[in-house]
Amino acid sequence: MNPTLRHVIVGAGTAGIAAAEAIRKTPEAASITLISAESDAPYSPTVLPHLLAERISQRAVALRSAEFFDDIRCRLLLGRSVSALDADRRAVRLDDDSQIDFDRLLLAVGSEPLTPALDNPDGVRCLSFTRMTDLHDLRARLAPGCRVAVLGAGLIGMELAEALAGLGRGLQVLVVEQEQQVLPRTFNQEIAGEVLALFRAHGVRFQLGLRAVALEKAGGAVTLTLSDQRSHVADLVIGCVGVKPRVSWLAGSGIALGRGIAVDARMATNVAGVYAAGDAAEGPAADGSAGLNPVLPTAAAQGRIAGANMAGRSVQHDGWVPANFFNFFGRVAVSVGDNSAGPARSTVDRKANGGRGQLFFEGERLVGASFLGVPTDPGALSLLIRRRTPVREYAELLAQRPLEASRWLAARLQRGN
Amino acid sequence: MTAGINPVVRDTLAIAFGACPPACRECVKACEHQRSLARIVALDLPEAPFHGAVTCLQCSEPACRDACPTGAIAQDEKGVTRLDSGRCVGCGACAIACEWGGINFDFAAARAFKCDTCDGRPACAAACPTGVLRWVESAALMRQYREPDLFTRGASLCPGCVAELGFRMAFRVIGEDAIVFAAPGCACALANGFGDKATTRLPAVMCLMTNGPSIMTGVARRLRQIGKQTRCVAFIGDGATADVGFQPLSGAAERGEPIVYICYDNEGYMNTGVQRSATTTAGARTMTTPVGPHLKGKTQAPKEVPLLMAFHGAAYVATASIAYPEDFAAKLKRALASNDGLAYVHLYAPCYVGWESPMDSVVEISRRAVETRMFPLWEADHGRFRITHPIARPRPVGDFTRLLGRFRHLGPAELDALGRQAEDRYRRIEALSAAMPLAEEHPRQ
Ligand SMILES: Cc1cc2nc3c(=O)[nH]c(=O)nc-3n(C[C@H](O)[C@H](O)[C@H](O)COP(=O)(O)OP(=O)(O)OC[C@H]3O[C@@H](n4cnc5c(N)ncnc54)[C@H](O)[C@@H]3O)c2cc1C
Repeated sequence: MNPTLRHVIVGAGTAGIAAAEAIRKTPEAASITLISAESDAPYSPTVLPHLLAERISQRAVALRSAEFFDDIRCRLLLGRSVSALDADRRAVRLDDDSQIDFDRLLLAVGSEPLTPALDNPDGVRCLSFTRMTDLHDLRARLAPGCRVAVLGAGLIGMELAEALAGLGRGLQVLVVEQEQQVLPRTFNQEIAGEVLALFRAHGVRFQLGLRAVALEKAGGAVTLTLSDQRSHVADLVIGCVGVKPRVSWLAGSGIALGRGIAVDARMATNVAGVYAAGDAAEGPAADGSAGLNPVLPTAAAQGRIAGANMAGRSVQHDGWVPANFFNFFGRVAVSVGDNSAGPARSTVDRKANGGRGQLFFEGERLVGASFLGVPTDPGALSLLIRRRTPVREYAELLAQRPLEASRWLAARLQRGN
Repeated sequence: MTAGINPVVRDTLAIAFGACPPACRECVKACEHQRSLARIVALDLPEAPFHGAVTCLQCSEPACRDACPTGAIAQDEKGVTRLDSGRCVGCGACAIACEWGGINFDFAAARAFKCDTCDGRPACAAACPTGVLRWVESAALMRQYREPDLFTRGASLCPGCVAELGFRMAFRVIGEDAIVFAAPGCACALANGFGDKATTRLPAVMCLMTNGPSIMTGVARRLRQIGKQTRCVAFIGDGATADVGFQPLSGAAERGEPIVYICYDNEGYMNTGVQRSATTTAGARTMTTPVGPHLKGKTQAPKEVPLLMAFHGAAYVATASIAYPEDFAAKLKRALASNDGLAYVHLYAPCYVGWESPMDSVVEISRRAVETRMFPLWEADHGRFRITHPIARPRPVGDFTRLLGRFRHLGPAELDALGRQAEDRYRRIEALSAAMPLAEEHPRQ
């Protein structure tokens, strides 16, 4: 292999760093350049709610130490945004019009917030909460007694609402969600209902089954109108209606785009030598379909696979399984796989040990599981779901003792028993 | 610190999976005592029934570390993955990423925590009353034998082949003052090179299947004559060893030629399309022992070549497995040290192509063969025997055959028969070790 192979990675988040490390793990000599549009030391947006809640200090959130990048001989370019890709000339262009040539390129640019579709004649500022600058913005505006409206009760909206509720300072938090439940697609109604009760008990107010339709200035504050035509007054409005891959800059570059950057199980795009991983990538799921799964474990795994393949190995991702872990007010909620009850499915729903567990089966196979307030092992459950393991006969044991039973079954599978 | 380490080279907490006695929580108690919150979890499931323990396996490429959003998880220079709970935000991404049950969650403090091997002195292993948990200190040994690799990269053997792993490992231990003797078979590719390219830094002699030990005899005698210490070492397959090449091997052993003969036993002629050999296990499907209405795989029991060699009164005879590299290395050292006759090492070499199993399964197959007593690990010095890895409670033979497509057709009766053969094999060695014990343990290298 060419000893001077140039690896360029756009995006210094979880996926980009995992790839850099995987490249360096191979014996090939190669140069690695890691570019981040942000000037912060590489960080993960996952830390934002925890920083806001003051659970961790700003100094403790760098994904890796500065020495780490020296150690793996990785050139780190911070505060430099890539604006275009020239696939034919094998170069990326930076915002200052300089160019960086590559032999292998990884697009690990993450995602950007979807903008809530609102009637906003006065141009009221609707904040978002996906990058460090958003956190700085929010903190600067978050006066004591502030009325905060969070649009969207998905993963980010709920983590944000929880952090705000924990801050005290007389903050009033309202969450608006167009579905009839919080965390739709993650939990089914029953567990979502218990999560909702938990938030309400901590003073968070909810408007479910309603969309935010308009924002207007009202003195120093904002009037938020919902689809039932009722209005709510807020001082701050934060849009958490979802994220989408940050790919608009790639239009016309020749890279095939679906909802994200289309990749195969090797994380390769349609253009030879160009790979994508993490939130930006639309890659294979464990069930064979392709799709987005913007969470850390997937970004890490895809990054690792991409890096290894870039450096000349040949490895495949075995596909992502949806999985989420929440810690709401000290109560852990875990969801793995597909938690919807369908006609061809059987469900086991148990209250045990002060919590609740639900298991979803298709025939003998586990396809989904969620637990609230009970210790369990989401990694073990993911494995059982990914490998379509027939474990229906242990449903009761899995529901009653989820931690031990899932670990036992996963370990048995790993060891080929 | 993460980049330079070779994570394969590390000490390991070995857990005999599912071998715990019911309701034993000694490891958990010891861990709690040491670390207040136990990092090892007892899986005590009488309903299953299953009794075992799980904790972090210290992966070489830890998925938990890659998923952590705050860099709280890092691998130290010894390959131990540590979690700094002061930087943990309790997001649980590590627990999702780990599919091995290595991450635990402290609900009260909303933090993840995991095993750090008690800095190389795990309290759980010390407290384990049954030997299920063992701290295996292989790092020093593996480091010692990591370099030099006397063969180039990119040999034409199948990836993950035990013959290749064993060949490389053997000469790391044996060193450079040796001549390699090969015979037609899979592994000769490492000795031969391809076309005009050499793949070995050692002098190598390509023999026929029928004359390896004879050529070695001549070369070894000449080396002695001229006062050289250089060792003649064969790395030859079971076909040439047990079938057509057995006569010259038997002769060399009987004459007491000071050569080292390593047989890698993949139980058949694998590079010519998987035909049976004398060492193929009974019941196994091969091209020449097919499974159909008349035949159900091989009908004969395997020829026990290592025992036959021991009965020649050879200076040293041992069986070895790639799943037990310390044991393999120690035996190679003893083979080299025995200069007064032939030394024979029989390396168990599962062939995933011919045995019909996944590419990454050969180490596990090797381990299972030992754990089920299919392939006992022992050594004999001038006809005195010792079991080097006793198996007190064997796993059912089905745990072994299940891994291999070539046994897929076996019914319960055939499995029972195979289990009895394994028992007989083990008992035979046990009886020999009792009757003619190899008393003092050789000094460890
Ligand atoms: C508030 C919040 C909470 C979350 N909580 C969780 C959680 O609890 N668990 C979980 O699993 N996931 C969580 N996530 C999702 C998780 O953070 C993402 O899935 C993960 O960070 C994706 O990693 P990535 O490497 O793809 O992208 P990112 O980590 O977002 O990194 C993207 C990188 O690309 C750079 N970049 C972007 N565009 C350019 C450009 N044009 N030029 C140069 N550089 C560019 C950025 O600067 C950044 O360095 C959360 C996300 C948010 C926003």
